Amino acid sequence: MKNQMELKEIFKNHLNQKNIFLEKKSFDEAFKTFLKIREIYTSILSKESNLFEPRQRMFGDN
Amino acid sequence: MTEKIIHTEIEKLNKLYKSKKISPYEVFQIFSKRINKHNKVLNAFIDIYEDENNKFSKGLENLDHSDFNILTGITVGLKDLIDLKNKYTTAGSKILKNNLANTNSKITQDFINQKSIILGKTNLVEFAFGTLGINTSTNTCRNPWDIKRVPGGSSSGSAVAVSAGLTTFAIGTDTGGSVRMPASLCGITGFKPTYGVVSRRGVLDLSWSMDHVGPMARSAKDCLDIMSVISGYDPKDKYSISLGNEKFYIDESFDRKKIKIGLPKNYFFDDIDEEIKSSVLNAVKKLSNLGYQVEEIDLPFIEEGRSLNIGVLLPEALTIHKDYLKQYSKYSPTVINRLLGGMGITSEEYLSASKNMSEFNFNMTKKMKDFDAIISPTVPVITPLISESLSPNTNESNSMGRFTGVFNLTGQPSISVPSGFTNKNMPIGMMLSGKILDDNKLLNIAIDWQNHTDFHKRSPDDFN
Repeated sequence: MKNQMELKEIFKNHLNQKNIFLEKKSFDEAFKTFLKIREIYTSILSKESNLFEPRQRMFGDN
Repeated sequence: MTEKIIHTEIEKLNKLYKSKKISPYEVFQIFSKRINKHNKVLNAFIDIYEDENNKFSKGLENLDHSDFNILTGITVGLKDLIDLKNKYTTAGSKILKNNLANTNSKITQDFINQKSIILGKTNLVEFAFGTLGINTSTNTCRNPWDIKRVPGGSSSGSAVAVSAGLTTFAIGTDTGGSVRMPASLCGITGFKPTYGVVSRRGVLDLSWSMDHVGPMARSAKDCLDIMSVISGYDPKDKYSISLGNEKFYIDESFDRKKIKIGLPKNYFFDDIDEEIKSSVLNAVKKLSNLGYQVEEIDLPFIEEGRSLNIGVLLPEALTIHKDYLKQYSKYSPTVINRLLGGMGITSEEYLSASKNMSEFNFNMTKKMKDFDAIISPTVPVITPLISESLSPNTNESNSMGRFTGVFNLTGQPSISVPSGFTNKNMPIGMMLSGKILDDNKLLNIAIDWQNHTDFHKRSPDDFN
């Protein structure tokens, strides 16, 4: 599990790659969202549904 | 007469037109005057086609009885993600302020074919990416029930316009609850159909897996009449599906005793505002007293739903915004900060989320075999003040879509209808969500609810 400093560097690199440079306040808000999304993905990736194709909604006769 | 006309249902207006008791031109004048009077405060419309509609509605004066389709001469506001030829589709953004549409969206064409009066484009959260209705690029529109409070988003202007009596109905889009949340906060009815039942051709995308288009009106009966026009298979929309021969109609054989409504044991009533909880549980009692079978439903997998909604939505939104992001400084702060938070999600992670989405939907489909609908609150929190909602990470903005987003994932039809008011006189909405493709049954349940309640008939004092 990466610590917050490492995650901040990772996030900065993603922004730099896209030539996006934010002021501190804006960066902090975006980073907060980034952390939240990483948390969401940690929970999503804790299991993987290999029995299913992506994005299915219809199953048999529903 | 004015007060009655702004609140008159579509079917009744249609009858009044046919019997020449009032004309579309007269009705347009009433709405137009109200828009001129109230829009400066409410910011519900961001583009208004007054001159064209003066001429257009005048031209409808000469129609014969038989020329009137159900939406002929009925006023509609289009969320500004929806193309109308030779008009700007800005998505409420500075980036697309010069984006002139060169064709009509499929549903716009439906309204043109019906000779509806398209009043203008309604305000929204920039690029439809937010739950509260805040937009610093277009000026946030205001909740007519308390103009210091948010209207909900992202179809904020559409909800406000209907709630304040500036149009008979409006169209919104719903990716995580953007039709149903503002409908709930503004005290109107908002319907999200089954995924693919309304064409999205000519509607700007936020997330191709989650986007839906739906009607917003005072009543579920109006939503049904609108759906009868805008639904249907569109071969030019790759996501479009057909409801087969099933149309939207009042089901005369509707029997409450045969309708089973699921009351979730978990999630939908946890950590929510007490007034909202009490209002929806009262509604449950009332439905039970009316004769519906109400039974508890166990949804052990449901908590994953909101995470999956966001987890699939965000990388898709970033892909769609790839080119716009070159102008990142033109975004409003709340939207860019939220969008950028999705950076760095890998294709493997997205694929995993998409597979988990399928498993979630499979589990929900199995549960729905025994139920016709699930009842829940539409949102878990009380309508916040605008002044307290300007950060992208407030508690309300993060939790507002907790219940609605689940049904964008599954694609089930889902409707928000008024179920009461808080002690501060702010509307409360309850959500009914049906089986995939069973849209007509769900609307009939909502219509039946509204035949026995009057919450949807109330209107904000300052905009009566």
